[in-house]
Order: sequence, then C-alpha cells, then structure tokens
Amino acid sequence: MSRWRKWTGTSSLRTNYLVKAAAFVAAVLIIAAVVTMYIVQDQQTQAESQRELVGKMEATEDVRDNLNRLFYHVRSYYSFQNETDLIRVNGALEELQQSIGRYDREELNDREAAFASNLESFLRVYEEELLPQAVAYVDDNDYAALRTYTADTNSQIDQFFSESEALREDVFGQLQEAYSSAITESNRNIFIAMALGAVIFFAMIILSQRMMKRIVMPLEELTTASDELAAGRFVHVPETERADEIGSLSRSFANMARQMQENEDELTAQNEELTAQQEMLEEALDQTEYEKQKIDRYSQLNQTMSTKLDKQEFLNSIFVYVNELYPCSRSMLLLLEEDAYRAMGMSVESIGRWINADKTEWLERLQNEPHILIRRNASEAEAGIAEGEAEAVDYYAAVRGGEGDILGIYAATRYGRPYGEEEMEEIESLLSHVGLGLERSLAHEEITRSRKLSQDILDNVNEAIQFVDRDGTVLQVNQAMKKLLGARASAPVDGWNLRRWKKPLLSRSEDTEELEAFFNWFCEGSYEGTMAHQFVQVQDQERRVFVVYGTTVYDDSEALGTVFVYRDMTREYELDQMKSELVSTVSHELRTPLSSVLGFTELLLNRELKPERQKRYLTTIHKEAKRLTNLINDFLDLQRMESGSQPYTMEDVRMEELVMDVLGQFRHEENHRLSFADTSVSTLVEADKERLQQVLTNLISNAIKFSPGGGDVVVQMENSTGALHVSVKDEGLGIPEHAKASLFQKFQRVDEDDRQNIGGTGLGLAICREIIERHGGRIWVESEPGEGSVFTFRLPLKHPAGQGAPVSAPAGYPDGAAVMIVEDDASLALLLSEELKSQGFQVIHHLRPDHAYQEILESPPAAVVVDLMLGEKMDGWDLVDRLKQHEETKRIPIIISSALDRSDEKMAQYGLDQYLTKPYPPQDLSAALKAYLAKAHADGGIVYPES
Amino acid sequence: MTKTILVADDDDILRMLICDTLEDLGHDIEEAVDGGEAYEKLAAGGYDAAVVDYMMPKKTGLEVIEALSGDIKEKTTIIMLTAKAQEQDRQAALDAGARYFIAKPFSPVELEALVSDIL
Repeated sequence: MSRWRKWTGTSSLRTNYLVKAAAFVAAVLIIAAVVTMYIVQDQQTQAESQRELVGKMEATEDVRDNLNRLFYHVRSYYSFQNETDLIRVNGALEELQQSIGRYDREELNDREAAFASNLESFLRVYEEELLPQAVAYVDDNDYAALRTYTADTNSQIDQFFSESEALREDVFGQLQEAYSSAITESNRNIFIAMALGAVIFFAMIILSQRMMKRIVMPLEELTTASDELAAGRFVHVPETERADEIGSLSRSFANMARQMQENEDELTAQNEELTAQQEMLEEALDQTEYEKQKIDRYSQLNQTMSTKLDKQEFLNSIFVYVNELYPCSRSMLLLLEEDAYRAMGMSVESIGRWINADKTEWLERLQNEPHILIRRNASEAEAGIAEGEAEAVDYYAAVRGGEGDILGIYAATRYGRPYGEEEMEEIESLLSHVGLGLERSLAHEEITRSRKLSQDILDNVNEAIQFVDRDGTVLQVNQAMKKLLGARASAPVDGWNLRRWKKPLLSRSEDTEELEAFFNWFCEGSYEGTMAHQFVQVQDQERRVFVVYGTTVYDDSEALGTVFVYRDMTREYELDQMKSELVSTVSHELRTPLSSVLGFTELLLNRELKPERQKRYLTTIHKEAKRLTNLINDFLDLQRMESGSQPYTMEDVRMEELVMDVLGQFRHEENHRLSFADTSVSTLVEADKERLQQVLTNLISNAIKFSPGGGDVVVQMENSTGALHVSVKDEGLGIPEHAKASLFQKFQRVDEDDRQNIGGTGLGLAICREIIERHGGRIWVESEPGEGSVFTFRLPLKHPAGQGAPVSAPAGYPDGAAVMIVEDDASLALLLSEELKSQGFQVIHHLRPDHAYQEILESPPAAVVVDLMLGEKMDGWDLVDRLKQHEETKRIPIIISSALDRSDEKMAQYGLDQYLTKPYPPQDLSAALKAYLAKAHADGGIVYPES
Repeated sequence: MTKTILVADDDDILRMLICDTLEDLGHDIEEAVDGGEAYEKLAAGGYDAAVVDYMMPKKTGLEVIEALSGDIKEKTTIIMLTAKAQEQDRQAALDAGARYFIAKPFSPVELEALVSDIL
C-alpha cells in the first residue's frame, strides 16, 4: 500500500514528473494528428479535383480526336469511295458517340454541357440524315451535290471541332490553376508543421527549466551544503514546505546538520574538559616519572652493587648515583680498609687531609649516631658571590657493613640549602645498602680468587682430574681432562652427564667393557672407596696407556661424588716393555758367545786334547770373547747415547779430511776397491769427529762385510741445499724391501741365507743413526737385493750459504771434469783434491794403483794424477805402464806427482811432459791440468802429451 | 753301539762345541744350521737323539718339535737348548715333546753325561 502511495501520491517527485511528461506528450501527439489530418485531407481534395480536370481534359481530347478521325475517314470515303473507309466512318462515329457519353459523365459547366448536347444532336442528325445522303451522293458520284450538301455539314463540324479545342484549352487552363494552387497549399502545410515543431521545442525548453528549478537546483544546494558540512563549516539550510523527496531530503539534511552542529558543540565542550584533565594527568605523570627515575637509579645502583666486582669501579658508580640523587656542592666517599675513595669538588690537599686525618673520634660518633651534621658559616671562598652571611652544612654518614661495622664514610657539603630529615634518612638507608653490596662484592671477589686459584692448580697438574656427583654428572674438570675427553679448552664440560663423558673415553678405549664397568661401579652407587684401573686409549693410531684412580669424596659421612684421576702411564709402560725386551735380547745375544767361551774352556780343562785342537779352541775362545767385548761396548755405547749421557765434543770438521782418514784405515783391503768421489763444494760441518769416524767406519766395514764377492766400495760426497750428503755404495748382497724399515733399530739383522755367516751385533746401524740424528742429520738406505746398497747420511753445513760460492767448471766441461788422484798419503791427497775442486774439477780418489787401474778401465777420467811410491804389489810406474799399453786408456793425460826426482828417461819412454816434484804448490797441478784441457779444446780434439 | 745324533744350532761356534763334545763319545753326528734344515732331517727319521737350539732362523726349536709327528718324537730323544731359561719357555718345550732341557751357557760335560745316560 505504501508503495503504491509512493507511486501515486501527489508528493512523489517521480509521479509528478511522469504525469507532466505524459500530458505534454499527449498534447504534442494530438496537435500533430490534427495538423496531419488536415494536411492529408487538403491534399486529397486537391488530388481529386486535379484528377477530375485531367479526366475531363482527356474526355474532351477524346471527343476532339474522334471527331477529327470521323471526318478524316468521311473525307477519305468521299474521295476514294472505299467501303472500308465507310466501315471506319461508322466505327469512328460509334466511338465518338461513346466518348461523348464519357464526356457527359464528367462534371460539366454550362458551356460544356451545351457543347455536348449540341454535338450529340448534330451527330444524331448526321448519322440518320446527312451521312446517308452524302453516301448516296457518293454512290451516285454526284460530287457537286455532295459538295453543296456537305458544305454546311463541314462548317458545322469545323465549329464543333474548334469548340472542342476551345473547351480543352479551358480545362487545361483550369488544371494549371489547380496545380499552382496545390503547390501553394503544400507550402502552407510545411509552414504549419514547422511552426508546430517550434512550439513543441519551446514547450520542452520551458518544461526542462521548470524541472531544473524544481529538482536540480535544490539538489545542488544540498550537495554544496553537505560539502560544507563535511568540511566542518556551519551550514544553514532553508526550511522548505515541499512535499516531494527533495523536500523531505532537505528537511532531513537540515535536521542532520543541526544535530551535527549540536553534537559538535557538545564534543567541543567535552574536549575542553578532557584537555583540562590531561593537563592534570601530565602533572601527575611528571611526578611519577621523577619517582620512577629515582627507583631506576636505585635499581641501577643495586645492579651495580651486585655486578661490579672491581672496587674502584663499584665506588665510582655508587658515588655518581648518590650525587645525582642528592645533589651537593662537594662530596667524598672514602672506604676505610681499602683506602679507595672518590671525591667531587674538593682540592687534592683537602682530600689528602681527610684521608690521613685521625678519624677515631668521627668513627666513634658515627657508631652511635646515624649521621653528623655541622652547620657553619661558609668561608669566603665557599660563599662566592653570596651577599651577607652564607650558611654551609657538612654532612657525614657511615657506610655500614652487615654487622654494623663502618666500612667507609660519605661526606658532603651544601651551601644555603640544608639537608632535610627525610633526605638524610634516604641517604643513610642507601649507604647501608651500599655497605652490604660492598661486603658482598668483597666476599665474591675472595671466593672467585680462591676458586680460580684451585682451578689454576688443577689445570697445571699433568694428570687429568674429574669430579663428578653421585649420578656421574660432571661438577669440575681440569684442562688435561678436557683434552682427554677431546673437548676444546674453552668448551664447558661441567654438567655433562655420565653417558656423555663416558662416550669419548669408551670409544677410544681398547677394553671398553671393563672401563665402563669401572665407571659404573662408582657412578651407580654400587661402590665407595678407592680403586684403580688401567686402560688403553687409541687416538690417531697412537696407543696411550692410562691408569685411572677413582676415589669417593665425602662430606662428613655423606658421599658427595667421585674424583677420577687419570694418569698417562704410556712412557712408563713403554719403558717397561723396552726393558723386558732388552733383557731378553741381551740375554740371548750375550749368552751365545758366553756359551762358547765357557764350553770350550770346560773342554780344555776336562779333556786331554791334542795341541792343535787346543789351539783351535783357544782361538775360538779369544774370538768369542772379543765378540762379547764388542757387543758389550756397542751396547753400552748405544745405551749412553740414547740416555743422552754420551758427551759430544762439537768442533769444525772438514768432511773430506775425515773421509780420507777413514779410507786410509782400509788401505790394506784386498777384495774391494775403495775410492772416494768428491763433487762437494762446501764440506765444513760442526760435528764430533770421533763419532762421525765411527759412523763412516761402520758403514764402510758393513759395505765390505756384506759384499763377500768383492767389488767397488765408493764413498761419494756432494752438496745439496744447505747440507752435505755422504754415501757409501757397495755392490754386495743388498737389503730386501721388508727389512729396510727396521734396519736402523737395535738388534735388527737381516735374516737371510746368504748372510748367515756374517757376524755382527746388530747394533752398528742403530749407533750410526743415533749419532747422525744427534748431529741434526738423517741417515737412510737405498738398496736392491743382489745389486748392492747405498747408505747415505745428510749433515747440515756449518755455513749453509756464502761459503763455497759456485766455481766455474773448466772450459769444455760444464759438469766439471773428473780427475783421478792415485795417492796413498791422505793429507797430500786432500791438498790436491782441495785445489782441484776449487778450480771446478770433480775429484776421484784412489789409494791403490791396482784399484785405480780397474776403475779407469771402467770409466775413464779426464786426467790421472799418479804418485809413484805406492803399494807393494804395484807402484805408480806400473800403473802408467799399464795405462799406456792399453789402447783405450793410453790417451788419458797423466801427471806424475812424486817425491822422487824427475826421471827423464821414464818421461821420454811414456811421453809424459808434466812431472811435479813434491813438495810443489798445488796450483801448479791445476794450472798444468787446465793447460792440457784448454789445449785439447782449442784444437778441437784431444791433445796428448806425447804428440 | 754307535748312535746317530742331530745337532741343530745356527751359531757355528756353538755347533762346533756341541759336535766336538758328542763326537768324543763315539757317536755319529749330523748338523743342521737352521730350524728348517733341522725339521727336514728329523722328520726323515733315523736319529736317536737331537740337540735343538731354541732360537734359530726359519723355525724356532719349539716350532720344529711341534711340527714333528708323535712317532718321531717317540724314537728321537730331543734335548732343547736355549738361552731362554724362564720356566714358561721350559714348560712349553716339554709340553711340545722335548724330553730334556739345557740352558745356555751350558756345560759340555753335563751335556756329555746327559747324552750318555739317554743312549
């Protein structure tokens, strides 16, 4: 219902608009219909009259044409008397009558009607009288009569003809007139339609304007008003009585605006009230803030007291806080026992005076009173710019410990502004806190110090120590224990449970179950007391033997936990092992020769023996006793060396000298060719000469011993970076691969068939290694079974750099020409060797001419220097003789170096041209050699002395 | 009656001492220079007694005895000679089948007496 009312009610804007629009459209339609109907009717009328006129004109023309044709045919008949013409005349007559009949049916005016009836009556006469008469004349060929007879008729016909023409003209004129009047009519109609359109258009404009005024403008006003309202400006909306939507919208808007206005006023009022309240609150907040700051300072102070352990730092913080909370002009906080203080606004003198003052009286007073307050007049300096008498207040309060004892004194001075009771109470309660805090920090410091001391002591103990509670949770460990557990030094281990710390120990242990059982006895409460257990830890393939002692720790009679102490017994264990091994080996090694000595002695004593057998036994006894002595000597040597008790006398040793000396000891060796190939530049080492001789002797005698088939034994010497390498090379049995690793260990001998009969103590190489290592060197072996062995040791040079700058090799010998010296006098050989080496030659030294000859055949040197006085079997001349006889060696240059006088005969015989008589300066030798070699080179061939 | 005795010792001089001692009794003496040879000869049979050193290359005296068949050990009286005088070594040798045990250094006279007794 209400909806319906809305649609139909007069107040509805929509209805109002619809009704008006409908009325307007209806009016327009009606007017348009009337005008259209009028125009259509008018046009129809005109078309009707035009059609009538056209019909009349056509009928007139018909009459005229038929008339014309009739008389055309009549005359043709008259002329040719043709029957067909007569028929056509009758036809034309008939058509004429018909057309007259049609003409008669048209709306005719008087003249036309007269014409029609005249013509009709004439035709009747013509048909009935005139024509038959005329035909009769024609049939009679009486043309004269005919002419007379028809003359009248013809004139009548002509009259009719001209009348009809005139009538047609008349109708045509009417038609023309009708057309022009139609055009005028239609122009007027168009004008009427246009006028009507214009009227409608204006009506629409007027209507729209009215709509605008009624609807749009009020809306615009409302919009502007609401914008204003939204912008917060005051709006006045005019009251309206309108009943439509705009009206109600305006009213409700006005209502709303008014309400808002009212609300805003109310809000403004409330807001003002709130602002007032806020100001009050802010004041309260400021107060609270101040209180809070105070509390914060207190709590900071508490924080300081509980965290600052350094006294001076503690003192500084407290002093700053107290002065911030209770400002004063100058103040000082002094700790009595500690002699620490902090002051503000005080001169050094007055501070010193107060510190050193006898404070007994002060302290006594402060014991009994909460504080001392002294009011006095400010001194001139203190008063400053104050006028008249200024008052100063000195305030003293004690920092008391837990038992009321005085730890320090706080003293402060204020000018003009006295201390209030409340303030003083606060300061004193604060100072009592400070006292407690101070005591606590001192106690804490003491505890920390003693704790650190015990931890330091523990950490410096070699044994790993671990204290666990009754469940096995770690309470304390030392650094050695952390290492044993595999934890980093900084890692916290305290708090690890049994499982956690047991795991690394067990995982590296060889006897996991026993060790775990040991720990569990203590940590699972099934055992109390002291117990030890030995176990082995394997880490990085290193076995270490530990003994762990577990001891239950008691507090009174209650067990607190267990202390485990782990002692590394590896060294002791190894020593023990070594000792028993040694005892066993030594007993075997010693007993065997001892058995022989005792056995043969017994046989000698108990039997009657033939003299030769007695001698054999005695020889054997002697040999075995010597072997026993050597063994004991070697063994003692080694023990001395290993224990470090063997003194080493270090001196500068020229290695080539030492090698020559040692080689000299073997000069009588028959089966082996000993030689010394020296390509070193620097040979000075710092060493114990006797010990190095021992090494070299050992190596050379081994080389001889283990090459039963003879062959070369070559001592080679060369430099490598900062070091000297000396090697002894043989062509003997060699050493199987598996034996190499343990070769330098005590009592290790290669156990092969081929060397079973070669005696030895098995200590020689161990001694060599010990000596070389004591010299900071290294010894090693390269060997091929059946091919021979090379034992090499390396010693650091005394002057690794600088000495022995590289010398240029002789021309044509970039690697140094090899010169062989055959000389049995070691010192002379050394001298020559030195000189030649300094000139860039390589030197090979042989003691015996027969051995030298063998080697020359195998690898010919660039030149040979020969001493004439040599061995028993072969002397220098023999060597020269052999070399000269042999095709391959006769071209090698030979220089004779001899103490004997020059023998020109022999010189000539062998074609030698250099003969140096000892003693000669060594340069002569090198000069002679160089001359040879240079000559040989300049000629592009080898130059021989004899040519 | 001549008996055949094997002397096995890797030390030439000791072997010579033992051989000389026993030869004087008028027995046939054969020698072996290591454990391997000693085993081969003993296993072949035909010895009435054998003096075997404990410490020998290739096979120790103990290994030699252990490797021998019961039959051979029955027929050949084995005397173990060793520097290892400890009780446990002695027991091991006796368990393996050695009948007698002589510790180095030994007395040739005692050995002579022992061998005479056995044979």
